[in-house]
Amino acid sequence: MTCIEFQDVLADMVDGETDAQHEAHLKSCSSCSELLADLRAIASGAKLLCADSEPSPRVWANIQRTLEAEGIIRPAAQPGAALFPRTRHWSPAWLISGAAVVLLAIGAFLYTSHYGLNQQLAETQVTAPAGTDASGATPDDVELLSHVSPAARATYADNLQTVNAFIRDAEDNVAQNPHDDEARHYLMQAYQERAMVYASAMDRSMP
Amino acid sequence: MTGARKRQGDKLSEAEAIERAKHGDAEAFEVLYDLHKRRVYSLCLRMTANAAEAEDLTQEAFMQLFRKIATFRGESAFSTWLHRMAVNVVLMQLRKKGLPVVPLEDDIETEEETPKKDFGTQDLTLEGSIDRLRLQNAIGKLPPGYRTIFVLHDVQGYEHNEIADLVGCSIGNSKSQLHKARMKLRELLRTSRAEKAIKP
Repeated sequence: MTCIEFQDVLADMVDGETDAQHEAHLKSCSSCSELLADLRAIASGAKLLCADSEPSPRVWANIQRTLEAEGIIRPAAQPGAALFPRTRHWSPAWLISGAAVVLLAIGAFLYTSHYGLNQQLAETQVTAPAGTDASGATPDDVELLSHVSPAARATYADNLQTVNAFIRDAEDNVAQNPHDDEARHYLMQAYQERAMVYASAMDRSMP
Repeated sequence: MTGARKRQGDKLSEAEAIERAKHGDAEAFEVLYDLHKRRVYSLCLRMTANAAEAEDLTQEAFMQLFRKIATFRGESAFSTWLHRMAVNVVLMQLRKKGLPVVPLEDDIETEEETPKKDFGTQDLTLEGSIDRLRLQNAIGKLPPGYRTIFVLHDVQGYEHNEIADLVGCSIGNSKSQLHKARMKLRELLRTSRAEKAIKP
């Protein structure tokens, strides 16, 4: 076997076995022997690089923040924690699911109308707070809070104030950017959050 | 990183973490991330040769995984699923940048990318002198097409038929380009070694 002939089978030999003919050439040719040894050393050295580096903590922080924003993971509830992360990645599926949650929450709210809330008022104000007082509370908010236990009232008032501010920001954003899909998604999310606060408060106030 | 490490210490298995993650358990996601972050990041880093870009791609790969985790049924190994997803994320990025993902076929080699067909020289043998850092640097200098095949096969352990499927080339092309990549690496490592020997 010549070096040229050996070159033709070299690629397969790096990862495979050598036969008697190849072995004979390798014993007689130090150049080919060293070449094969080098290529095998490169291949085996590469395996050590499979998992040798670690990403910075920034990567997990970003993943966690994004997944929370998308509602895929939810950290343990923390009183006073921000309800609405600012980093969002939207998809059509979210728009549909958000709308569904809003409708369900509105339905639940109307179903429990034994609190005497005006149906029409409830529908419009759950989705769009209007006529807020100095604290940002709507008449419906005030009515709702009157049925919540005193112990939880401050928390719900705080959450409603936050969500109403969020809705106002989102509405302003949509008004300024009426064709911006993300702005509309953002507003939809705001309505959804408000509906969720209402649904939660209604649950808590059930006898 | 608190809960996740604690749970790993308590031997929370990957299967348990997957099931919990399907229900939105934040700590389970963190466990899965911790289990696989090094391999995914290393893959991205080797294929892009750029740390910042590798971090972005690592993030994107895990994001895609976590968005779809509820659909994971366990027909294939979770790690296989994740790493294939990571490879696809990186390949997509390379394509976006206009870099060659599919290596050149044998008959359209360029002078720059074709390893010299030497047969070794006694005074520059690499055996015993390939350290991790030098090899990393040399891989980073490979043309992107060679690098992709080399990283997938020699670093990540994919077979040629899998590589052909992933990057859209023939099995023969994958084998051929791997050999050329190794030859090019040898040349780069020998050059690096020679330069180091010259410097005082």
